[in-house]
Amino acid sequence: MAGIGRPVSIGKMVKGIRERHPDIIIQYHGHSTPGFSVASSLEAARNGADIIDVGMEPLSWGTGHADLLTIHEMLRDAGFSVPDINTKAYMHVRSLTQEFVDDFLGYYINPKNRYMNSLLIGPGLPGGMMGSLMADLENNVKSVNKWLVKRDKEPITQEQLLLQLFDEVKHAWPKLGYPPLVTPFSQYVKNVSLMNAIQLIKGKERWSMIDENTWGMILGRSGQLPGELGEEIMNLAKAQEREFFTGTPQDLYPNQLDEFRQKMKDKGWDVGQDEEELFEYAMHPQQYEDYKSGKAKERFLEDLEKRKAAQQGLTSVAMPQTSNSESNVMPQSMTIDVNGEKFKVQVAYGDAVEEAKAEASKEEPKPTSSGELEEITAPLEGKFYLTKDSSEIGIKVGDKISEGDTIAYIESMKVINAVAADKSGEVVEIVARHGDDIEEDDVILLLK
Amino acid sequence: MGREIKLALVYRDMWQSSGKYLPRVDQLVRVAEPIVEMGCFARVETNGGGFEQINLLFGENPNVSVRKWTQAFNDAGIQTQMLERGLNALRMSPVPADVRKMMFKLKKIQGTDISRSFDGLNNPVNLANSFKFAKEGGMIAQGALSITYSPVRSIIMSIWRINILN
Repeated sequence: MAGIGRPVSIGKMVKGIRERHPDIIIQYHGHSTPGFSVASSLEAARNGADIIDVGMEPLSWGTGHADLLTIHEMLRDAGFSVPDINTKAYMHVRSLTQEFVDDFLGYYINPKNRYMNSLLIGPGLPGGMMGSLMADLENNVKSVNKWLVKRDKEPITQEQLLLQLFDEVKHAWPKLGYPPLVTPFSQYVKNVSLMNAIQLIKGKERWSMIDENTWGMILGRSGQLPGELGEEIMNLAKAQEREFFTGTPQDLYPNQLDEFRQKMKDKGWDVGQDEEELFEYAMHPQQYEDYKSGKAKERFLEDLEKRKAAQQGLTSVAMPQTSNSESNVMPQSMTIDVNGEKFKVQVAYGDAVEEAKAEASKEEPKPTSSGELEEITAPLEGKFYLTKDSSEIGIKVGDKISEGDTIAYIESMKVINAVAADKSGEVVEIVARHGDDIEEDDVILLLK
Repeated sequence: MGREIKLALVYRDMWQSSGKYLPRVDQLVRVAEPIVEMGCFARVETNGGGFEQINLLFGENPNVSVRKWTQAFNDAGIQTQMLERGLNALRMSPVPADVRKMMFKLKKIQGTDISRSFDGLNNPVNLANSFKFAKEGGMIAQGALSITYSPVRSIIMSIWRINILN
């Protein structure tokens, strides 16, 4: 599925399945990121696949899938019977998809996702994950650089962090028992590796940020891992008194529909046609609450406006005549006109280095450890929550907390990370607000 | 001409593997008819994966989106498919059994024909539930093998997994 399967091996696999199960339908799906998918599609077809998945322009290739026209031609040339394509309708779909990109979706597509990337073959991360990975890295680089600049250290580029992440995946994956690198385990391995990489950049130890979902995988709560866990992971589990599970994973997660049905009744919410609203609430509780309250829409529109304004600012600058698709020929400086006055400016692309410097320098002074007050800061960027669901009660001013207590949660990189207090004391002020986006190192609360 | 090969357009995944969001329902409805007119697709991936959650994240109702977006394909006899993550169904963490069961029944009603189920660990126990629930819900159950490369895997092991699942 993930696009890292080697073509000949894919062919052997399809052949083996076909020989043992002549009557089942075999469908091949692969992402094009590392470049194997066209050859893999052919190998799959030659060895007995019935259906091949394709993407189409303007979103084929890159971190997406092999293009319809290419696969279509290749299969015909190889002697297979494939249906004709209505070219007029094809052009219509193509132009509509481009229209959607231009409308708002393009603001959320990292240009790097339009490229193929063979570096993924090394760490084995799935091609389909690169979309969210690059979006996450954009935020991570900003946060790390803010931390580094604040401490008079040299900022890093997104490229540097990406390469460090790849190295770290190679290190962490075996120790995590070689889970297949597909959703959500690819995300878990990537998150732990990224946290390790960031901790190492900060001069700290590996494995200090492992979210609860990843612990669930390590402990066998999703099923048995294919490989042995590394010694350091075993020691960490022992030190934290975590128990391993060998039963049926589904047994750990009891039925909850009645509970959500009651919650909806209490809130006066309609369960919807065929109880579909109840289903969505039970499947995505926090996101559904944000949708119902209108917060989700508000946040999205606000973010979209920011992105549009940023783009607008960029395009209003007179760009020299050059190809904007080749980063290596993009201008490093340009002259801009502000109210009739000309300024020569240096241009940075995507690294967020200058941005981090500016962010760090313009940052408003935050409450600091003055007098008896002490801060607890966010260990990573993301969305801040005092509780992870409505059954929990969040901390409040006056509560006494001890080092190691879970004080809040940060949703980052698709998982919920518990934030543990790194000091003890009485809560004087909760600085971060439930549901807000926060950055690494932001103050969450003040203690005395 | 040789053996027939069918094509599936993974429209949902095209967006999700490129960026953060997916088209709004009004946009999806506009593009559905021309996709049908292209005449070359036996299947279209319409939803599942992050589709439902992403709709909520940008303030849209996923139930409305799935019902409206699958309609043109249902009318044309093109099979619609969704991706689901076994124990994790449509999210990144394990889902209670009653919610998983309800998902298949509901998605069939909303217009999705095929459930493509994969389990991140290729765990036969988790996948067996997906197949059982999907069939009970009236969907076509499809199993997906998660292919990855490591010293603890082999082609033989992958085929062996398929044997177990059958």
